[in-house]
Amino acid sequence: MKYILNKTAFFFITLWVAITINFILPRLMPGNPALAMIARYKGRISIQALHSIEVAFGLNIHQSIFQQYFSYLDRTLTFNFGTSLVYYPSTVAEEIAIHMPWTLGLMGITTVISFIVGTLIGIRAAWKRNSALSSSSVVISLFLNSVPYFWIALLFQYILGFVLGWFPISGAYSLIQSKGINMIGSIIYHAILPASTIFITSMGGWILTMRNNMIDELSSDYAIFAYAKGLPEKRIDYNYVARNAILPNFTQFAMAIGFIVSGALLTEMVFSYPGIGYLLYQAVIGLDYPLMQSLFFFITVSVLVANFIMDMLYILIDPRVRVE
Amino acid sequence: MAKFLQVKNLSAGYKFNNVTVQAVRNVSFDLKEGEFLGIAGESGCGKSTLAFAITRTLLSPGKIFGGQILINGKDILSLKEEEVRKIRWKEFSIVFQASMNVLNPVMKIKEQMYDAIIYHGHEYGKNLKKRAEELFEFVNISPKYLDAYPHQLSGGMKQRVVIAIALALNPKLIVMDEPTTALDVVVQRRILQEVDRLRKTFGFAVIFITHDLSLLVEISDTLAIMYAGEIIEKANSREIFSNPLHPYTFGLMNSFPPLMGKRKRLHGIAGHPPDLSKQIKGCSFFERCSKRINGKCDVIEPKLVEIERGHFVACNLYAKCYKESTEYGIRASN
Repeated sequence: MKYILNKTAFFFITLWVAITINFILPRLMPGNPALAMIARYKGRISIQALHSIEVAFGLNIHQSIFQQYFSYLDRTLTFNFGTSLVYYPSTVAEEIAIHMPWTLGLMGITTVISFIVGTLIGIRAAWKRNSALSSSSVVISLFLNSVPYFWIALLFQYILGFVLGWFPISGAYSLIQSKGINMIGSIIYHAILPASTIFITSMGGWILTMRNNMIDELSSDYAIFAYAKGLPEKRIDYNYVARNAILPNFTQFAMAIGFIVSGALLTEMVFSYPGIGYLLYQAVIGLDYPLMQSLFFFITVSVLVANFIMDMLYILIDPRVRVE
Repeated sequence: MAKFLQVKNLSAGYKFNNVTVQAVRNVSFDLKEGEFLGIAGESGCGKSTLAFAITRTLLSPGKIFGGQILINGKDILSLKEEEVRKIRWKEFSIVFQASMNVLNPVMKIKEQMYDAIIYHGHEYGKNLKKRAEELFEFVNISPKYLDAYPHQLSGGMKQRVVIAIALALNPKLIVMDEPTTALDVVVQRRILQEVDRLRKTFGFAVIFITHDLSLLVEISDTLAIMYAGEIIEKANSREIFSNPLHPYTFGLMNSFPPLMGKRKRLHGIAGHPPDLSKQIKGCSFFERCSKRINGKCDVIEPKLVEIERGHFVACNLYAKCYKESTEYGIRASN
């Protein structure tokens, strides 16, 4: 119980700090979104229009910094992020709502699958430590883990998408097939290439860490005791060794889940996939401060929430944190 | 009584990167049903390796180089892994050195106990809870701790839990490898007495391995002293205590102080045990022995020979031992 309260308090304090930093950072930069807007319209904008933009973006320079801060907090917590510059006149909230599902679908599913598959391979590779599978898995994982992601992505895009033409090279779905079952098929078809590149590059890490944790745990006293008890291999492997070896990986998995929102940046740039990463890219090149600020907010919140959920799950998977 | 366990010419050790460490060298002994055999020796003399070898839990890079381990006349070294798995815990169980860490931290204690019973298809499997509670009563722990996780127990309690698990299937032999090392002396003694009481109730044999000789002398039937991978002396424990024959045993007996009597300076045994990764010529204790005979002890490797009734020793100081060892040496070289 104390653990839960602790973690909850920690969550809210970090959240507050993150939101505050998110408020301070843009104000440390020279210029402001309104001036950027003026530059965009090459000065052909009236004073009244400028003022209304300032109000809309919450950059009312006539307010004191504290008034600005509290009105910022109010707007953030009500998800009122103002209007986007790049996607004017859509609001930031609308744009995020449109792009978020794509990222969550693509990255979320891929991250979970990659974690599960990587962990299972890691378990097998550790158990059969001296087999060909085990040795080759280490080399392949190390290779996949260390090549730059965009290189693999571009390679896949070029060979499978462009040269062989098996998969579409960009977009999330075909504009022609936009009805019912065809639409779903088209979405999956478009997701294969980006998903497989993420899967391949992220799985190596899970294999390596799981294999290493497993090998450590296999030589632990309780594993040898389980063996001496005459338990079958499978029972020792999964219920004793893997059950303990997976604990550190769960924390890492929480981080990975948290970074889903931001981590798709490269993927979505390479494959022009209309997710959050793509949106962030557009925001950065368009100097779209309100959009950037709210995206940073969402990235921070998702990392914090994922960690908080994992902290709670730890109660279930590791009895040692259940301290009365 | 019938011989339950026979160890014949067992050699075991570790092999890695072309280095071979002979931790157990040509060890032979018998164990009767219900016997309490204490094995003592200093750190690194091969005690634990012997315990692992007997229970066939010596894992890579550990290796058994030769010999036989007969349990009820059946050589367990020649059995397949799955066949050994089936008799594990039913015929023999083992309590490890670091008993604090042998329980899986993320599983409830009762599940770890049930596991040992379920996977052997034992009749106790019909009423696991009853059996578990019974076992906990044997070792004096409240059955409410069955639902606990290992980290919720103290060191002494974990030790009892492990002993309770070792008793689960009524094995005929329990090998205990320094089971009380990390505990304080009071708890050590209490646990040892409990083991002895349980042994008298259930009639299992015990091989108790420790570097703490004082712990063993009063409780074990037979005492074997190990040095550099060999058993150098073996006899009834009272006999060995009052009449140690081997100079090494003599040194050991004089390295702990008596409770009563005059204060006197204790003398340890100078020097270090030999490097077990190298071939040892002659007696392994030669370098440190105060009674060594040059030209005799550094040439002839003494064999374990029965000098007096039930008192075995491997030392060239005794004419009978020297004679047999020499004959063996000549036979071997021919």
